[in-house]
Amino acid sequence: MQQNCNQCLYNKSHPFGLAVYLDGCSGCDTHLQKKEIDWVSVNDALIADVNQFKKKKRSYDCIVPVTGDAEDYFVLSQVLELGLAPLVVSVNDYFKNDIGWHNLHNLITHFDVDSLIYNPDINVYKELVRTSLRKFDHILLPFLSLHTSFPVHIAYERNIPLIIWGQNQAVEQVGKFSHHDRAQMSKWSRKEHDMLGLDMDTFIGNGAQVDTRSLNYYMYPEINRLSKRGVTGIYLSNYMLWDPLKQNQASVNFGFKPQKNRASFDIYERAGSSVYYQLHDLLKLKRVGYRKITDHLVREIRHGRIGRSEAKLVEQSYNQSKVELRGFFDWLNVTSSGYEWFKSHRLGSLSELIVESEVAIQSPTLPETLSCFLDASLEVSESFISFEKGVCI
Amino acid sequence: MLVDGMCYQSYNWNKYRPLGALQHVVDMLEEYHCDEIAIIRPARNNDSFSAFKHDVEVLKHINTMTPISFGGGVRDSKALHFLKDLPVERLIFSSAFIKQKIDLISEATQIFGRQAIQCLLPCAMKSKELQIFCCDNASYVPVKQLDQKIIDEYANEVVIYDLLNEGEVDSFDFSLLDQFSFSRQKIVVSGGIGSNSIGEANRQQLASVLVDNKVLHSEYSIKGYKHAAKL
Repeated sequence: MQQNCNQCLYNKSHPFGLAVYLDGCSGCDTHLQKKEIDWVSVNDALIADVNQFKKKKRSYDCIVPVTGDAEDYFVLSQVLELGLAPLVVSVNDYFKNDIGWHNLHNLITHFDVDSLIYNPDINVYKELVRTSLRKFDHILLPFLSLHTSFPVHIAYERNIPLIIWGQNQAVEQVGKFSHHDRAQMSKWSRKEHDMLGLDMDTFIGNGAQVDTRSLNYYMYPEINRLSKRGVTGIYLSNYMLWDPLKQNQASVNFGFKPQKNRASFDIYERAGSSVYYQLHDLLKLKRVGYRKITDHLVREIRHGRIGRSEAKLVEQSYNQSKVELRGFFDWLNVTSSGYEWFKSHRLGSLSELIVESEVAIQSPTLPETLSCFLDASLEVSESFISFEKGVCI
Repeated sequence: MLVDGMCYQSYNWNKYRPLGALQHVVDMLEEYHCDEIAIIRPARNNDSFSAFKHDVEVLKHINTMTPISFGGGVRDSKALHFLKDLPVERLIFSSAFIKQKIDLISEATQIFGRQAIQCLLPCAMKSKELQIFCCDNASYVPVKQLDQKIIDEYANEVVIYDLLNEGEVDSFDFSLLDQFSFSRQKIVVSGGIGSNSIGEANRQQLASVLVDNKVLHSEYSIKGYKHAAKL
């Protein structure tokens, strides 16, 4: 098999796996299906699928897991258009900035939906973040673990068997399944795509100083139990022509605030996070060899908004963007010497990308076909806000 | 499908999609109470012994209680002996049966036992004639050139693999079976298997079905398939 896709910027080392063909890759090939599928009839199938779950003496028809991201606005708007009564479920990752809190609370108030926000034990959470960073060069595993299992627990406990997710990343990025497969949420998919192939036992190992009794919601519920209540998770991206940039831009009309981004042109995805385009992006580069900008550019190449050669130049430019890490290590209660040790011993090869305070870079010029989707964005006022009321009524 | 030590899904016999690490897949199939796992190397005429060895090494380290059948690229005695210590219950031969390599199959029978030998026949209707894909040559041969008596004699089960419907939703073409003289109790069907085709296989009293890609596309697929088979 070839190593690099000649249509996009991915290669075989993509963490989800990638099949590279003579002309494109599994991700590009799956994207082409979007142009061939009769989405109207697929939408009819969606309506039929969700109608099976509509209220049967229940308060809610479905659960919608959210973080306050632009995608959540789109998903929730579609869920309401389908006539469903959702319970919005969110897990506090403790990494939100002022924009993140606004976007989460505005989502709930704008759409006027019931919500359940889980604030995990901060000490356990920090210990898991510390372990995750130390063992796997990843700081979001504890959050991802909760984000992908807590809503499933709630679905089981409250007997709300339908969970509606936005995009299936494995399909959108590497074409792991055909759109026709309509792959659903599963324990395997969570482990393979969200948890780096780890289960909680391996994740903790003998390093983390946590009592396993505190980890119930971090673990996926038993399949046998879920099966009895028929808990099912579907991805909307299997049922509609999924176009994140276009959809996310529309979320501004609902009061979503985009955030200025120095690591990518995408001001919508993960806006409101204090770490996503900072330490997380740097660790992604260390782990998998590329930064988030590559995912964004691949997506836009496939949607025809930028050419491959131009995208490569944009990628090179954004790959030089600097990251500020100190805020995260302060949040984690790491001493100055510990911070310096980590930088020199664990991030030594990437030291030229680390700065002590944020510096603006000259953003590369984007083609009009892409820049026309980018609205005005905001600067962050305050990062790492553990709790906040993001809207005033 | 096992390619370069990683699992892939195959669609219509011409397109792969990545699935992930073999151990993760096997772990989950075990948790889903899968009865048996078939691991197939889609070996063609450009397969090499080093690629075969690499995949077998991955297989050697698999940890599972679920019975495993393995095939793809077992083309000579050297490859056969390399499989001796593998944690597999059955061996799948395809090109060896099509090319009538009786010596190789006899040797496999002596080492692993007759009940461990499966024959896999990748089939497709081409120009209104049933053709069997011979992986070793990467070419099709008409079904009439197939020595079904030899297959019947040496293979404990025969997998009829519908190439055109592989990876598709519930679309196995049962008319393919009309071209074979094997006892129905000896036939396993694969390629586009879904709940309806499982029901039909049950009605026709086939030995079993081999579900291709669909098992990992949703949480309770195997439970649903077992329900369809009235197990």
